[in-house]
Amino acid sequence: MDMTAASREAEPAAEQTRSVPDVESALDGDTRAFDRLVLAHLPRTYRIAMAILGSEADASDAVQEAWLAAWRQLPTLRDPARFDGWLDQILVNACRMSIRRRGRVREIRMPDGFDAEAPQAALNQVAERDALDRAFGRLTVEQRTILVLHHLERRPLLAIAAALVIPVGTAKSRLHAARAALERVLEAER
Amino acid sequence: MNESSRLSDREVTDMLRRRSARPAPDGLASAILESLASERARHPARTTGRSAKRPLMLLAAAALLLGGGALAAGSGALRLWSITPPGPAPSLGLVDFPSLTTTFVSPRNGFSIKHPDRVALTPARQLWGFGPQVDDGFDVVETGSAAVFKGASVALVWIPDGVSIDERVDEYLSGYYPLPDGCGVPRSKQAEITIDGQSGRISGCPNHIEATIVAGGRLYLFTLLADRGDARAVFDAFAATIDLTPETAVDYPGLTSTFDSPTNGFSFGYIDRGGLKPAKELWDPVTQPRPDFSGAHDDPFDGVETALAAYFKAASTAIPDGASIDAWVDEYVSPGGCGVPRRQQAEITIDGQSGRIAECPNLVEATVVAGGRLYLFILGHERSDARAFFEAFVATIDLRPEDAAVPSSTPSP
Repeated sequence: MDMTAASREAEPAAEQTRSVPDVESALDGDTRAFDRLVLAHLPRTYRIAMAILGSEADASDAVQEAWLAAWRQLPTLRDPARFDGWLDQILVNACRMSIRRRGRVREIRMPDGFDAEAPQAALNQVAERDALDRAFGRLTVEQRTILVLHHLERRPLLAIAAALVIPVGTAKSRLHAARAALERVLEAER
Repeated sequence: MNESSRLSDREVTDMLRRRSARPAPDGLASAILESLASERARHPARTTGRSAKRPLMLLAAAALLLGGGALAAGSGALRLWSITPPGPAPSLGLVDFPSLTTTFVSPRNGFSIKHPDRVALTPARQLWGFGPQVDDGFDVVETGSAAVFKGASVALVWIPDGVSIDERVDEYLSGYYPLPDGCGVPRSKQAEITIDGQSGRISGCPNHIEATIVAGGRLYLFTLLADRGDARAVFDAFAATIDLTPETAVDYPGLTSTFDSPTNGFSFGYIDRGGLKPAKELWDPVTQPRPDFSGAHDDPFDGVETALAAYFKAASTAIPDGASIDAWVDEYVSPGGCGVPRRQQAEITIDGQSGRIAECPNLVEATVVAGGRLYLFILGHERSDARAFFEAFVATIDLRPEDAAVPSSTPSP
């Protein structure tokens, strides 16, 4: 594993540890502490929203709505150490709402760097990656979310279950089902 | 499924990293902080410290355990802790409130209501949740009698498996559409109310009553902000005059921003959600591929991804001397999905110019000639109200052929 990947996977725990004092201050009414939480967690929340929604405009909207909702609902957070999971729950709901508003339309874009003159092997690789991306985009938001939390954010099942407000066993079966669905859709895309 | 189709964890992770590789756009952080500052300005009470709230919460819990509940109902400081009683008690009757005699028909939200003659009435200006201000999506009746009645609605188009209507409504109201306030009682535990024959739910908290109705695939929210002892009676009086007409509701946003094309000689309205893509080159339908929605040939078009299941794009070009407009359009311009010759298409007027319009599945396209230029406007969509949405765009179009960019002249050999 390269250092970038290692540091990325260590990121959530480090963020959480650093956040607790600011979460406590925010719960005590310190607006600047909440603003610091926004800045500290923005990369992570945007990354999750982008992975789920696949659109910069939708991800920006969802992240902005999630932070506004987080501020409104902050008094309902009882345990500052659970801020990350609580925020994930709000963010996932915002992504769900974004997809609802967006309807079923899908942007069809050529992959970045597409070059018709490129060698066939490279074109095949690009086409395969694009098919996987399209297949992921055809999953339900619940399926996308659980795959993002598991494969991108490296969240343990317990944290995923908390973020999705479902039992751990259900999270496990949904993760398996989402993975199977991705493979099925990918087959259809090929 | 054969073994060769199986994905590795690495492939899934790499794909997700590619999808999320771009950093947050410049300005997103400041936009969030600005919206938070605005929210705090509107609701300063929400910045109250936790240390001050906890004793109140304990007191309230004790009061509820003792069967009183009056403390929870009477303290505005407790609202965010969701200890509000399930429904506002109907009062004995209206006291000193003017008669509801004048009918107002909402321009967007699919209902009508009666109100007193002398009120300050502000119709909804935007799709609920899309305006910069909380009230932009609401029809607001300020009665001048210590009571403000508001109403809004939104299409309930997607309810996941296993999610009840009550849960879906709670989700809508939990922060994605800013409300004047939040009573915090789950809808399933709220009292029942009937509005225009439809069963709904009602909840109340200090100075604020809100009712939700689901009718015709829409969620309606009606709220009364009132500093009156007979607030419930005032709410009931308004509610009794409501006619729900979900079929008249408008589900596309107001096109409040204006794009002035530097290339194509027109301007049009749009909703600014980051989806505007100005043309990068001049449009030449004779040499370029026919317009489509693959995204591969969009450079000559000014386009807007609405993120509302619709993509609007437009371009213009000089008409060759002597060309028959209908024949030339049929040969070079029409995306070909509709298959109706231009001269057989319906008429439409765009900025005072007579043109033609055609509709086929997932596509509305119109062509119009002005000042020696052919203009093409297209809406690709997956919406049942696409024609109305297209006409909302058309209503904002200003044709200015004199401002169109001209091709640079090619030197003679």
